[in-house]
Amino acid sequence: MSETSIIDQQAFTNTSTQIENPEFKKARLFNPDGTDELTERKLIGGNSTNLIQLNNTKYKWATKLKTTMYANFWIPQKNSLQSDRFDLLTEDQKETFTGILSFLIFLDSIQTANVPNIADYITAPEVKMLLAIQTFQEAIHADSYQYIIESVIPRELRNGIYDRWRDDKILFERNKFIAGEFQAFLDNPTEQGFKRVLIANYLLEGLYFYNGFQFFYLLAAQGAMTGASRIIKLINKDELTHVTLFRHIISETFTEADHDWVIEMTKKAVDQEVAWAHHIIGDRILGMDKKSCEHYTKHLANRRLVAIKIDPIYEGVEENPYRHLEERADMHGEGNAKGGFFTDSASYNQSNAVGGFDKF
Amino acid sequence: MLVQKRDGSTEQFDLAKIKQVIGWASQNLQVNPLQLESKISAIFNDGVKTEAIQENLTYAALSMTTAEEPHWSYVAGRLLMMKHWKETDETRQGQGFAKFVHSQVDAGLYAPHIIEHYSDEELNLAGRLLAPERDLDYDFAGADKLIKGYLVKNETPQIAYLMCALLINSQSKEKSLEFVQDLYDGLSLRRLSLATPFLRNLRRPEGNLSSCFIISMNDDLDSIFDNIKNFARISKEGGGCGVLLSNIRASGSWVRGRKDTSKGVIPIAKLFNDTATYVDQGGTRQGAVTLALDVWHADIHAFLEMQTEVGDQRAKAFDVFPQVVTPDYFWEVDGENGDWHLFDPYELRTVLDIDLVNCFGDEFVKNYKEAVKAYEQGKLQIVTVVKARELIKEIIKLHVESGLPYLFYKCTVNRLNPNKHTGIIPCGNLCVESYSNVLADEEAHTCNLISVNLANQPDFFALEISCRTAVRALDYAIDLTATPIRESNVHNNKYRTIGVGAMGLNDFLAARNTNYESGMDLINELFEEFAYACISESIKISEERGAFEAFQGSMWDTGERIEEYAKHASDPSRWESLQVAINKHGIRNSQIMAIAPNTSSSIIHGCVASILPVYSALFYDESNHRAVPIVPPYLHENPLGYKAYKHFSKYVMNDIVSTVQRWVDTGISYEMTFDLNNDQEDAFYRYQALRDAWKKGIKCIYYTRNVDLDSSCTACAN
Ligand SMILES: [Fe+2]
Ligand SMILES: [Fe+2]
Repeated sequence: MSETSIIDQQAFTNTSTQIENPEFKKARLFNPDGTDELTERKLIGGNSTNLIQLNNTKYKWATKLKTTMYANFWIPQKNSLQSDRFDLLTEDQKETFTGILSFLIFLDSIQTANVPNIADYITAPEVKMLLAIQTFQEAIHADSYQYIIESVIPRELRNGIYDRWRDDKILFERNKFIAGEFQAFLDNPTEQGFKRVLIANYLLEGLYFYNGFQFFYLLAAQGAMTGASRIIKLINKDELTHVTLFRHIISETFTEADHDWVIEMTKKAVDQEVAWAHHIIGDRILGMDKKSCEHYTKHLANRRLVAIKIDPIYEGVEENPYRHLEERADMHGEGNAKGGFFTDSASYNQSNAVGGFDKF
Repeated sequence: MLVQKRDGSTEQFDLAKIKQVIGWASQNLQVNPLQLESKISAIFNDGVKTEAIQENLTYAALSMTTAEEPHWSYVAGRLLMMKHWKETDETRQGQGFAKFVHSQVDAGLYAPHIIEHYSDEELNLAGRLLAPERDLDYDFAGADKLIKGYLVKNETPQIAYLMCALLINSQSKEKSLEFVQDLYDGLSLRRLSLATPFLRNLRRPEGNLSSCFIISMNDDLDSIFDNIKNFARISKEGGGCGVLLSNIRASGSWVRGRKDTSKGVIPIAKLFNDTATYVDQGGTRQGAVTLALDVWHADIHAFLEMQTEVGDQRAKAFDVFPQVVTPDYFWEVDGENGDWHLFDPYELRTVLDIDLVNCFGDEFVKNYKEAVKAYEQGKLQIVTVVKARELIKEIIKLHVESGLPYLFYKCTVNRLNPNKHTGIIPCGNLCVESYSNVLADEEAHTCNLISVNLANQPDFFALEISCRTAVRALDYAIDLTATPIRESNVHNNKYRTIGVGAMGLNDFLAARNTNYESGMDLINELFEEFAYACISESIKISEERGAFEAFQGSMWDTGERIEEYAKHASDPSRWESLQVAINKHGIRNSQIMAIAPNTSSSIIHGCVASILPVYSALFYDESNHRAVPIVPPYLHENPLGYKAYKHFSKYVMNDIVSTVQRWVDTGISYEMTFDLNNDQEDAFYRYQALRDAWKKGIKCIYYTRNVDLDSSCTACAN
């Protein structure tokens, strides 16, 4: 309890320097006096009726993003994990594998619960809708980790993974940082708190998962856990759409005045991610080490900052040390990951990923 | 600092040694060894094992592989091979080949027929053919796949190749080593590639060799479950299987005179699905099966929905590969946007005495129209009328979602079936390149495959030797071991179907500074030579050993098959003289050529799979055991020769495939790749591409690949 209250205070101190916006409040649910005029539409603090009318949208990026998110639809059970052999991993790999799973499953569980809290304050229906899709995807992710745990990990180890977020000190600390921001806002819903939640979320989706993801790709590159890696790849694809979504929300609502505290939060997130990676990956894994984890995290942080128009804060990290792993996972539609014939379809899309069905 | 050696002893760390190894592995390759040295400082600590150093070096070299510096993957390959050599030191420095073979047989690693066929003297003589340095020409992916997936304990790649050559030659009447030499050279210079079951199982006790089967079942319980058992046996031996479901009565049909009782084809599909996951060769490879259904079958909708996420999970079969069989008439009806009728084969058989499965072309149209008429007269109960186009849209949606189903253009295939006089080809095999007559419960299509690697053929003369060697090896192999099911033996004796394939066409073109678009004439010439050599050799073997049993009355016998070739030939008279030879000697094999996907073997060979363009200049292979960078062989010399598949117009692809198809008497595993990021390649484009393929005489569409949407960037538009 005492930890949480420190964060509360921290959040409070931060907000106290800002002038409060009296219009900052939850969007009304039933709002017959609202307007659907595009000129009046606002992301936050608007006066929407909540009617989802997608031929009448202000934020065009939302429609395009919606198509991509639909196209990504998948369920974990369609991917066979029968050839994933946990017993063939080295002891160090096992330790890292379970450690990363326990972190990821916590993150996505929190996401499933928290994204609706963010959506509550959004007054553009086309964007609110995307958050609903995201919430659903986060649930699929949490389910996926559980599916991996239940399918490949021996029974006696499973509970330990679910409990670890509380038992492992370093893991607890970093979960507390992000979840604490979310909780602080729920306890005291100010506009500044909301903005901090946006950044916390952006960092969570754009930074926190990634050393973990790369570990799975690394295992796959070494011929292990290819089924789990395929699922991670699908999650990763979803996460990239979430990053895009929050990048847009942030770009629409932030100004230069916000940059300093965003940088400060990013630094803290980077430190936490690096500490965690050192703890869970360390120098015990062939193909990853402390140095490259740190380098990668900073490289990624720069990329995320640039995306929301803030200059890079780390030097000498232009090169991506895990480029070979990311290329393998083909996160950028370059078509350089090719599934073998006898594996499950490594990538699949919903049929709305292409148009033109009405032309014939 | 100390390092720990393989035998457990320690010695002082010696950087010079490491530098030496890196230098050796980089020899004659376009890489800067210093770059690799700079990567390794981090991995050394006191007491590190030498294997760990080696493994780290290998992995570091691998991670440095890029489209700009592709040769790093060869450095990694050599390092891996060096490790393998160390582990097989004794073999390599042993006292002669015969002694090694005996020790392998004694240890139960080799089947004993090798020493029953060859004396020690002959084995030692053969041992002199071994050229160990050829082990060093593999990139990492190739070396890794070969070592992990194919080699028997204590073997090096060269020994494996020599053993295969000796065993196949054991069917030869003469004892000469001439054919052994040809085959060994073909394999070890990677001009020829044995299909997986050959290269993996031939030397082992009780190894089956056949790659491809097609079975069909009748519409009764015994036949259904007999064929599930057949499939299980085929899977146990590692064969891929095609299964025709079209004879099975539809859902809602009659059972013992009661209507609405049959559950249709889906529950049977599920049985095959679960059999495939159960019989997985000790966890190494799941059973693989394509289930085929004719497009007029009343269960076609349920069949198409078998693999979507939505709907009743009990009607799902995710581990099979669906295939839709389409007659010409279906595409003609679609051309006029007409109605298509779905029937229950049981009702057609019992009420009208019509069989739509065992016919094609005009006969199909006649039967189909008769059934439609009967329906309009109210004589049939289980009929659904849909737009042909709606079914095609359904198929295209599935192509986008999962890359399946395969499409089988049944009439095109059967018009060119050399054995029309004895039956019909009802559907394709697992990779839809190999098929022949199938008769439910009596004859199962059975075929062995070897591919000619075009990337490594220095000239047409070498190509001819490769083709001839391949045909002979495949024909010998038919008699080498028993097949897993009785229906196969019947078929083997009757048709002696073999499949010589080709891969590395993209490399062949790139090495000659040309490409698919401007090299169309060269492609045509190449495959004419390919076909000519293969057919010539089959005639020669027939002269020695006799023709396939069903030869009389076949298209080879009547002259129609060669006529078809002569139509397109650069020099028709050459083909006419082939017919003269056939009239005199017959031909040994009823079907000879089939172009397989070669997903695995192309990786061992370091060439681009099949005859299609490279997927992308550098990609990561994700098949079961490893995910590693794959770089085509002439990328360094001719980067422009490797345009990625996704950038090709599908009309051009259809031209290329149909040009090759003219010469290939069986089929081609034709993968289509579409780019989801390219708005031009929409559903309508896919529709036109499928129709275009049909019009151009393409026999099948294999997998449809989709280059994924870019998740991070689709929203960057504004
Ligand atoms: Fe997630
Ligand atoms: Fe997310």
